[in-house]
Amino acid sequence: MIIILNNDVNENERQAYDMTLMDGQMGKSYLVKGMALEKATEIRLSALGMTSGTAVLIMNKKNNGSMVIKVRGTRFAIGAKIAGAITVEERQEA
Amino acid sequence: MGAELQVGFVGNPNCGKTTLFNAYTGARLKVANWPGVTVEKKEGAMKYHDTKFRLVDLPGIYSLTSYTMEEKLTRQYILESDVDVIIDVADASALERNLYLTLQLIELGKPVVLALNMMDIVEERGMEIDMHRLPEMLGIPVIPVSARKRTGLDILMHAVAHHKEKRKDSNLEHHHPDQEKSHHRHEHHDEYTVVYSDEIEDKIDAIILRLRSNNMEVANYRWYAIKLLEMDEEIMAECKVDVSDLVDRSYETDIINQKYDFIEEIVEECLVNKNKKAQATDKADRWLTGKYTGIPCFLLIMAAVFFLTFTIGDWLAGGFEAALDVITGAASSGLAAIGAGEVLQSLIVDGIISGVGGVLTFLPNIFILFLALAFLEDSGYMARVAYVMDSLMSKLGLSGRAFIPMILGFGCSVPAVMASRALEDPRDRRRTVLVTPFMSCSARLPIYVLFSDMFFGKWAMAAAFSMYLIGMVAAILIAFVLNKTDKKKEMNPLLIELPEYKTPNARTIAIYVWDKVKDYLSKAGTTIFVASIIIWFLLSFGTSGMVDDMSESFGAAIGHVIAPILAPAGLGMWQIAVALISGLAAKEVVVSSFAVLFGIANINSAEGMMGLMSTLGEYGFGALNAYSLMVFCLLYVPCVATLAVVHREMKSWKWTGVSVLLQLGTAWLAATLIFQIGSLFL
Repeated sequence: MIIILNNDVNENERQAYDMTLMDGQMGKSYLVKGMALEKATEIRLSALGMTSGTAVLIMNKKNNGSMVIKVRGTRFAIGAKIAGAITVEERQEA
Repeated sequence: MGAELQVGFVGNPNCGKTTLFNAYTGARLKVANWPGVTVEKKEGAMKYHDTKFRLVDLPGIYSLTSYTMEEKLTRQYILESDVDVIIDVADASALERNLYLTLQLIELGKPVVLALNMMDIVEERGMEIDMHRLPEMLGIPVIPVSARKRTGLDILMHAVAHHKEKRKDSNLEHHHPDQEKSHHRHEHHDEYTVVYSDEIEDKIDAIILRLRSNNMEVANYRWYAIKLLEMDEEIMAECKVDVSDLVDRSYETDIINQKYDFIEEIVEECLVNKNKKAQATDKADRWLTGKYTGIPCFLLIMAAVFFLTFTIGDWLAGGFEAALDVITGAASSGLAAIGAGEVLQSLIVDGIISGVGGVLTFLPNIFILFLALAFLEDSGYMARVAYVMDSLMSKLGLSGRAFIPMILGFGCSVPAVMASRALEDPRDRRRTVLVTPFMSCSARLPIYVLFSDMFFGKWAMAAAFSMYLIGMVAAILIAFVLNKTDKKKEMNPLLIELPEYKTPNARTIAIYVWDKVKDYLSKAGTTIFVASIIIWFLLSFGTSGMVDDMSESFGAAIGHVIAPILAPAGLGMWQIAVALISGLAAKEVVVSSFAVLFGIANINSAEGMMGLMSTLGEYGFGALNAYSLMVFCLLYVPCVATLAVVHREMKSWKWTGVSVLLQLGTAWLAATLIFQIGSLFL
């Protein structure tokens, strides 16, 4: 189940919609759009500050997809299973 | 003098909560388990001015849901116990995330004092926190402290003593951007720290009204209503009033998001100069968690830990052994001088001193090992190991963290099994405890040295080294099989905070290491003491009373029963059975038992080995038998001390039994396979 946190997805954004954190590049920042995980894990991630619209910076990434990210100033290591279930969009640099 | 004030310490993991707690209580604390669960409960007492405080350290948590045991426990403690004040310890250098728990704690309704820890790091980074605005926005006292530098400690306790009478979330001063548009403008924004959207506030009001009109008595209506809107399992089950028409779906995500919206407001207003300096942690992590450099760095660090454990540890252990010799000598001559009976002399010298003393000589290695571990843990590196080793270990169904106890197993199985405690998932912990003893510990080395020297000549080194490989392969194979047979395949996905690197705190390390050493000493005094006496008794007494010839002892009788079982592995001699049994006290004892059982003096000398070899040769015991014996010694039950910690960590006789059977079974199977297959070729 994909919880769409951002409801007003227009057609132009539709194409980029399926991008997950796993597709992200090291050293780049992304905005969280939604996630599709077990409820307990989703709540845990939200409680850690990964709410919709939050910026996530990929600090390090391994070939198998597990990565180190920075969310609201805190670093986390997440497995490929979580990284592949968080949908993101590229952050427009101001 | 007032009554005792009960203070609970709550905070995120890695926020320095335990350091702060230790700063108040020192090592004088009572460690027990929370009733019914395997979560540690630490309690300490202190006095400040005329007030007595009872301090309770709660587990580190990120939020107050009912998804984890730690969170449920903390929630229950705050709601149901007679805690007077909560100290919410927050890492000021990660304020944004730490405030989430703060908001939840405030919502629970008990008096909360926010201790802003790690203010020194905040300053170092060139950040500033508006200490006037922050308490205004939160409505609770905020005290800057540094647990490591021990500053602000008195002021914090002073605030606690004065904040015990809970007022409303007072002095609240909010200027929300959308406040004007809300129809809830009335009392809420003055009354509650967190005010939700109108939709949720309307529902909260309606639920509270429903609860009250149904005469449902709860301690905190607002909190209860919020939990109902979150569809919190525990509260839903407990609530007898039907609110299903009001709670049409779970509002949990909305509630979390809106809390974070408010936190963003706070950070915006109170945090000055965010992220000014490049952080040292990020630079270090580029190497330590790097795609290609992570594993080599980890191996280097582990090698250093090993090197320290064995060089410095052995150097200190040498002193211990010398002291033991002196004590043994003094005890025998002393006992003879006062005319103690032969039995008593034998009991004290051969039984207790050699048994307990032999185990105590490992204390220096254990001390160094735990010192190194505490250093890695407190510096923040340990969490990285989980990430670095995750891909490799997940193939075995183990989490990356399980790698640490396994590595430690090369040193000594006792601290290794104890180190498995750091694993969160109980199934993960159990499997790690089951496989860790297969890693060849240092006590098994004397056996390899003796037998490979005797039977393998120039291949002796290779034969000894192959034991380490076999041990690792056995551990990996068994982890793999356990994973395959486990019905619950679902692996916990990796999600772990990587804390800021910091210089380890001497006090925290000292308390941690002392705790472990104390554990080990108390074990030597109890389990090993008793085991030594039992083994001494079995080898010194027979049906005719005390015997000089071990072949007439109870031990020999038991050996004769067991020998046939060991025959397929080429080990079917009663002396070997007895030696293996005596090895349960400590693995090195196998070597000394061989010496005693075959009447060889100075077994490690060339003559001694020749003598033992020719005696063994008469029984038809050759190189293949020796290799089989080495493998058996590698894999069978490590020692009573390990069993004792396995039992303590598993907290179940059933799983301790499984562990013993697994070890005996693996040892027998491997030794038999090697002997039988080897016999075909030799």
